Amino acid sequence: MTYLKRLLLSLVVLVLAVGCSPAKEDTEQVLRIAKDNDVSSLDTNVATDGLSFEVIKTFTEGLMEYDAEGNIVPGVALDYEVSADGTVYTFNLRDDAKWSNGDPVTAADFVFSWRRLVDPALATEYSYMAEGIMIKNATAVIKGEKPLTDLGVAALDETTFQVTLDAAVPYFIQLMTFPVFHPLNEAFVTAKGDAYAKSADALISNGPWVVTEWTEGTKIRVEKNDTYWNADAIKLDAIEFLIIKDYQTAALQFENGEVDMAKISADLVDRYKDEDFFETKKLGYTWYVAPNQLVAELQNENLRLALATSFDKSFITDSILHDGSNVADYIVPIGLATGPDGKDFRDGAKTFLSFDAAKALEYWNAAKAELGVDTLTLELLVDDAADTKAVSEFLQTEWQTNLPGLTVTIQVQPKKNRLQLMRDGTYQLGLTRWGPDYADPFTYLGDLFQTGVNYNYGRFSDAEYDALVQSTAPGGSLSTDAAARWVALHEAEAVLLEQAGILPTWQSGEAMLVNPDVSGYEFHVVGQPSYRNVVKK
Amino acid sequence: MTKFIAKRILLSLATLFVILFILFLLLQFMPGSPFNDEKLTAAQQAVLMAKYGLDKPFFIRFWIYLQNVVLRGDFGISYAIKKDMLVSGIVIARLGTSIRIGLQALLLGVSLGVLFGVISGSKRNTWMDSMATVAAVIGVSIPSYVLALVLSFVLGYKFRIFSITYQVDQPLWSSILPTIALSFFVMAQTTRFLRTELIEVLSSDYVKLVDAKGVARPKVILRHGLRNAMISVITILGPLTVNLMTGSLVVERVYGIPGIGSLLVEGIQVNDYNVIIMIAFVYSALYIFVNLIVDILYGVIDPRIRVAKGG
Repeated sequence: MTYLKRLLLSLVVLVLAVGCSPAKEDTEQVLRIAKDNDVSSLDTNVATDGLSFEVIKTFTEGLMEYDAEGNIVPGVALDYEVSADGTVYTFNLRDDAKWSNGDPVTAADFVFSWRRLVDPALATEYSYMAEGIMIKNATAVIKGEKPLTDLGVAALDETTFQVTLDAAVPYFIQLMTFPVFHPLNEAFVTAKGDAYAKSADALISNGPWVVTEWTEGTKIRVEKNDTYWNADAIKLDAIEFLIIKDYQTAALQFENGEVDMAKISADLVDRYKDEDFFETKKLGYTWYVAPNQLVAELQNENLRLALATSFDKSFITDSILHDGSNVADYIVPIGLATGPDGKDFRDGAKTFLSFDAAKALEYWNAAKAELGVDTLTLELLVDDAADTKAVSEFLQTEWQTNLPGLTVTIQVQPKKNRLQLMRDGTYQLGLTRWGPDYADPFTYLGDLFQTGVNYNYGRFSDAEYDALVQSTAPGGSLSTDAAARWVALHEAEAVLLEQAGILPTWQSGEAMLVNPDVSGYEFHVVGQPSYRNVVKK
Repeated sequence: MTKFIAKRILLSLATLFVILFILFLLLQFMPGSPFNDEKLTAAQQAVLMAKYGLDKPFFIRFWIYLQNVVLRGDFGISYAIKKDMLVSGIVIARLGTSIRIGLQALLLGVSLGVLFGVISGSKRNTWMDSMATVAAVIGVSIPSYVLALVLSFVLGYKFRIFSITYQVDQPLWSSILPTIALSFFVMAQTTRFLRTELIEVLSSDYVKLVDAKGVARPKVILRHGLRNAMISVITILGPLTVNLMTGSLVVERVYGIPGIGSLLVEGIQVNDYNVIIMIAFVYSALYIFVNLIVDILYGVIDPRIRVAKGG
């Protein structure tokens, strides 16, 4: 009994002594963001996931940056010139850009970083980007066939950085905002050796903030960088990224005023959707079902058209997901890319494969006749996440109801397995998604559906599609005619979808709770969110 | 006794070696790679696998790995969770937190469990017994996720007494809620087992003799009854302790505790082989160690066992 009394007494003492957590007297503006994941690396050339890039963008700056409207504006580069054939870019860097240790940011810093990206000794996962934008000799350097110095980059002088490409790449300049192409201070990186970027004090900044604290699994804190050339324009004194995996907990912390921004899951949306701090935003992911054309029946166009038009997509977005996702009767997402006419790709563009149960039935009957069957069984492969599982069950019901005679079975797999199965072609229908690497429709149309490309899980193949897409590719016949290229991209999308090469379902959204005192937060469908203009009252 | 311990330790090392081998073997069969499968082509993945030596034959890889573990305590680097960083560093940093919170929960749970168990067992079929039993049944039945959320919501959010999440700079204070959440099950199991054992022990002949000799009731219960009944409690404490120290995934997630439970799950989801192997290895080592302690405690508590084992 005495033990119990002692325990109670110590508890009371604890409560009295510590009381509620003392509130910090905040005269500085600190933005606290709840994140549901942790960063994998803060090394600009090595990182691969969204959060890592988001944090990296707070302490580094590239040649170009995005503004609030998504336009490309100068970053470290003041301006640039392009050669007539579009293969040589010359950037004029500002002379007042500095590293946090006082060193000036020079063209050599870009050369060092880009070479490091393709260094076969480092074998970074994003080295393929250098090949993608067709930097001269990138492929050979990555393979180790040529030395790093052969890469098509050069520092003409302290403030002039030149890039030579093998062909004109229409989306080259967009990619200059991507963190893997940001500069690195060679002296610092070399001095740190293997320890570079593995802790807060092994990082150097040329951006608005500096990393001051990095506690693995818990928190990353960045504080204002006074050596940043535009430091006067930055209002936030610090940003804290808090790793909170549970959305319920993050929401409670938000309500308590302990975080200013938190993403929430679909099941919490109903609770908060009428509040003024509830926001939704569109992401650049399009989810679609890829029918595997190695399966004989799925080579039948009528069958694919039937499958594509026989389920109510708005139910998925409004009832199952209801997180700002919207119906996708297209593949190139809204907000991805702006054309030479200044309009979004989807603005005024055609839509395809809308839900139409009656038409679907016609396609189904035609398919059955052509295939000579009355019944058919197909398997749908999905990730074992709550939302994709729910969607798969809905698809199964819709298909079986609207296409009588069709039986659909569901196979649930962890994501890595699912990707492997689709890659191997050992699946029938697969629910998958794609996220953009750069702000151009080619990231979807060119990278995904040409004959024989790696991510063409459904083995879609159409000569007309290939020809159209090739003309819009870097070095293609339309690569220097922006207007004609834009038209060709639209046509390619039409060819793909009019024959239901894939069955588009929805464009991802995200539901968030945002402190109404916070303004100026910039979100981009492609690229990382920017906190440069954030003000917190 | 020392011979006994020495033999057990040797056996444990052999077991750990076999476990390491089996883990290494099993991970061969996981599809996909630790890298960004969604975006990398098969050719690019092959380059990365070669860079990290993952394309070498199985036995060569295992041999290199074994040497690193035994000679340098180096369990390799992380490929996905914390790219290129030493796994041992990441795991050990989190291990301390998980073990500490686990032991806190154990202490709280066993203390309360012994308390309720003694009350129940000695005052059988009274209202105190019923209350304690009800508490025990509730503790066993409520899923830890629900309990964790309820505590977080009521005590953390509504009444603002405790912190909703675990804060690294307030390790003791902010670990109170997760400790309570984790201790419920321990408390419940301890109460139930102790009650049953104590009832049996208190009705045995030797206790009746002690009673007849005129020893005061509390002393009978505590000195004679409890000591004999503790055997069963210690038996279950072995696995319970390991469960607690390895970090309940659910509680870690709700309170945002950077523990090894959530690290293991994350490792599995992204195929971070070295992280998975090291954590599973640590779990095994902990389990073996705790079982050894339990066996020694048997000897300490019950002389009959000590004698039978031949010291």
